[in-house]
Amino acid sequence: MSAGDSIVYVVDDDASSRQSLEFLIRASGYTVRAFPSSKAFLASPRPETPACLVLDVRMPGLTGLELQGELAKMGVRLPIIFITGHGDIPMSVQAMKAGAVEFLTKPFREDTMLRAITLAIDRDRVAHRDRLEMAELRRRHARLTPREREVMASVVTGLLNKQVAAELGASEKTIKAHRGKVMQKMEAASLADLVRMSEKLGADA
Amino acid sequence: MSIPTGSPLRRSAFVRYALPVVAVAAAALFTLALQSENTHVAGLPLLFCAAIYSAWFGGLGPGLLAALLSSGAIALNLVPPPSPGNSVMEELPRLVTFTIGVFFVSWIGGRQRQAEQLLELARDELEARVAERTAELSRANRELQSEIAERRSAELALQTMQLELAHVSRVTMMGELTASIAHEVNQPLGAIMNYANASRRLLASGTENVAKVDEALLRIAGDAKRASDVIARIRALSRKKPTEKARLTVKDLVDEVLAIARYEIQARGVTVRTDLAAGLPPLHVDRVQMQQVLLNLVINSMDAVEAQPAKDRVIEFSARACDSEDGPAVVMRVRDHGPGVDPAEADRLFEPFHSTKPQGLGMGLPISRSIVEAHGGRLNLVPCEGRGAAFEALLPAEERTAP
Repeated sequence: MSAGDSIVYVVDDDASSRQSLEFLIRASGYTVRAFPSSKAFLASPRPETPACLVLDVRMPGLTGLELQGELAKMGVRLPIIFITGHGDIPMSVQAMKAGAVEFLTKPFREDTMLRAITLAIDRDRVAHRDRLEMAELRRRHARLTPREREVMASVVTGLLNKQVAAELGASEKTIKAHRGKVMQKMEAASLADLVRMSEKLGADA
Repeated sequence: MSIPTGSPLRRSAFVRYALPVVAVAAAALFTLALQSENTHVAGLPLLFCAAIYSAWFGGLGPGLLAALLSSGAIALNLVPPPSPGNSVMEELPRLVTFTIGVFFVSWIGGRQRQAEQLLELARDELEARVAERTAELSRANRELQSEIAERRSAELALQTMQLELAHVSRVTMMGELTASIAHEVNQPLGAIMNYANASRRLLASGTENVAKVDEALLRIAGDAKRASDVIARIRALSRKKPTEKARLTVKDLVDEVLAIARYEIQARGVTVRTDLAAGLPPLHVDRVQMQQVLLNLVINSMDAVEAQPAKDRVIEFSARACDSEDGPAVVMRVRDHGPGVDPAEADRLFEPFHSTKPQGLGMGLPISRSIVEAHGGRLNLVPCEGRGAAFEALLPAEERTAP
């Protein structure tokens, strides 16, 4: 199993169902963390690692679908595999539209479930890499002084140092020094690299 | 029916007319036997006796016959006349007086006999009427007995019908809970599948996982028990059986009811708040019937709050002890925050076939009430503060026992 450091979260209010899922997924080599309610899941800290969520649709309190909405609102893009006691087509359509990986009806075949988990974890691994990169970019960007950020914003639009100097009302030499600092702090290998980074940051902001 | 009065001989005409002949003959012979040369015995007194006896015994006819025979005997000198030497003509007035006397005695005898006969008649009639009345009474008694038997069998039939009706309504109610029941059975079955599949994986990847497989098997046993418990509960509810009262705690009863309806409650997004007072006395009730009553109240409440916004989809289930006029009791209350009961509907709520729901049979509440009443309790819609409806079931409790 190539589970690695990935985590499978299970949220199901039914103890039998929850414990058996936990047992099955753990037997397949994943780390499992199970919760009896949406609230308990939201209250627990989640380490930044590839993960997915196996979620019961019907639960007292916050239902599975409501938790999906809540996570989307919080900007948490955790792949979700829904499970439900009995197939409910409109509900599954809604869940899939909202980005669920899979919608399984109990009792499900275990290989279907495990395949869905593998797929979800793989999907999250890519996202996880992006998330890490974004976090790194943000960390670097946060180190820039306000002036350096202005210089970076102008430089990435393709302006020459002289034009930037004119725009910001500074000498060309000062701008050149700022630009060097920006390249260094952002750890950009080239102007093209810096432009790409800026785009990512911009898209996320 | 005639009851013989006096001697039956008196009735026979032959005897009545034979007697004067015999009596007169006997009197004449007796008088002649006593007659001798120097004593004169008058025949008249004995003949007179014979005639009076005949008249008394046989009535006017035999009396007169005796008088005529006596007169004849004297006239023909068979019997010595009262005064010897007198001619028949001289004796005539005496014989006439004698005949009148006999006639008079006969008349009195006849009247007496008539009175006796009337008395006899009256007695016969009385007896006949008594017999008739007795017959009437025993017929009435028989009718009464058969009516009692009829009534008893009608009561039995009613009871059977009520049981049947309760059963039908219970099965109908369970129809509404099908999703809930399927879910309750599916959950542990799904879990069992998960454990079995996980175990196969564990065994396939090596035998060092035996402890884990053992754990899975233990859990499989637990979940199989859970599934069979659910099925047992449902079977008990769907079975038709006579009332069988047992000692039950309110908590067990409420827990079971909420377990059966759990999924339905969740699926409809309803919150049930239970508030059972501490130290409630146990009940002596039929488990299935009481579950039926409470399930019915809970389902009604769920229906009532279904269209409400989520925050109002609340059912409060409470129980408290109280003292009724018949001793200790428990009041179970199911209250919802739905639209409430229209006051115009309130009176008809417990009428059979009256339903406010499009799919309703209108049998739930009337049957619930008849079940509660058969347990010596009451089931009513009670006023409640704020919006919604509240139903209270009062049930007699067993005496509080020392823990």
